[in-house]
Amino acid sequence: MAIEQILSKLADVEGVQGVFVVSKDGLILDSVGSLSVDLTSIAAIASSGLGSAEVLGETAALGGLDQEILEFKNGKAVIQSINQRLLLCMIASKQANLGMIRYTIDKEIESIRTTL
Amino acid sequence: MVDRIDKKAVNSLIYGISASIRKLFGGGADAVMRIAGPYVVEEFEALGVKFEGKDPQTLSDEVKKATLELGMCDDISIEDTGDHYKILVGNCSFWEATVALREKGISPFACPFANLAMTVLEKNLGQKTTVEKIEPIGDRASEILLAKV
Repeated sequence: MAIEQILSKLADVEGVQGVFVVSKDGLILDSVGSLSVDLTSIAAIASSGLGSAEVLGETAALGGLDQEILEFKNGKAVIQSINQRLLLCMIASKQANLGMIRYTIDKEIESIRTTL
Repeated sequence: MVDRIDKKAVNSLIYGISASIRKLFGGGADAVMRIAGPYVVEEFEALGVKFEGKDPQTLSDEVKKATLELGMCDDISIEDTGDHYKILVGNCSFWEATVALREKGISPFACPFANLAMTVLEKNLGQKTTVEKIEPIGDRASEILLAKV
């Protein structure tokens, strides 16, 4: 299955506005969705944010990091590590069901890893 | 006010900023430089440097002219190898910082040459790249490998 098809499954979760595969150096490699925001900056911020959280985990002896969830006043962001080089970033509305987003990521993450 | 700064001081600054950004952001530090690139080019353009080439060779010549004139190196070549751009920098002004980072086990990422090349390649040619390697080689020389995406 093509990566766009798998990302579309994630984007089909109610409230999800954008799904991106981003390299750890902040480059968007694949994306699905209709967000009209500065995607270049979002990709770099997602990558540096995940990197910073990973360092927090290492420094506090909490181990590796799989996922970062951010809840804002007007929406949500979920950043999931795919492998050493890539991450998945999802942007969703305030009303989006985080449980459903996480469930769908869990369900699709191995397909994403295999495809990439 | 002095209008020059010792190269050793510049290297110390680059080392300190690089080490601290790497410590804060881990692997995500590389993404910081992707954002920094356009700002660097903007500042260069404010200094009167123009990057207007619409083909790899012209752009390479412009990067060479700019970096030599600004005293960033004594020589630089950018070669399109198909899947990559291979950049060789001779007498790199930031070589000490690169070596110091390597010696401390910190992967260099804040390379002005890599940063500049990535930004103008994307801006002028629409060619996105990622940094695959920044490596000191030999006497004050560095090799930078940008992978095409």
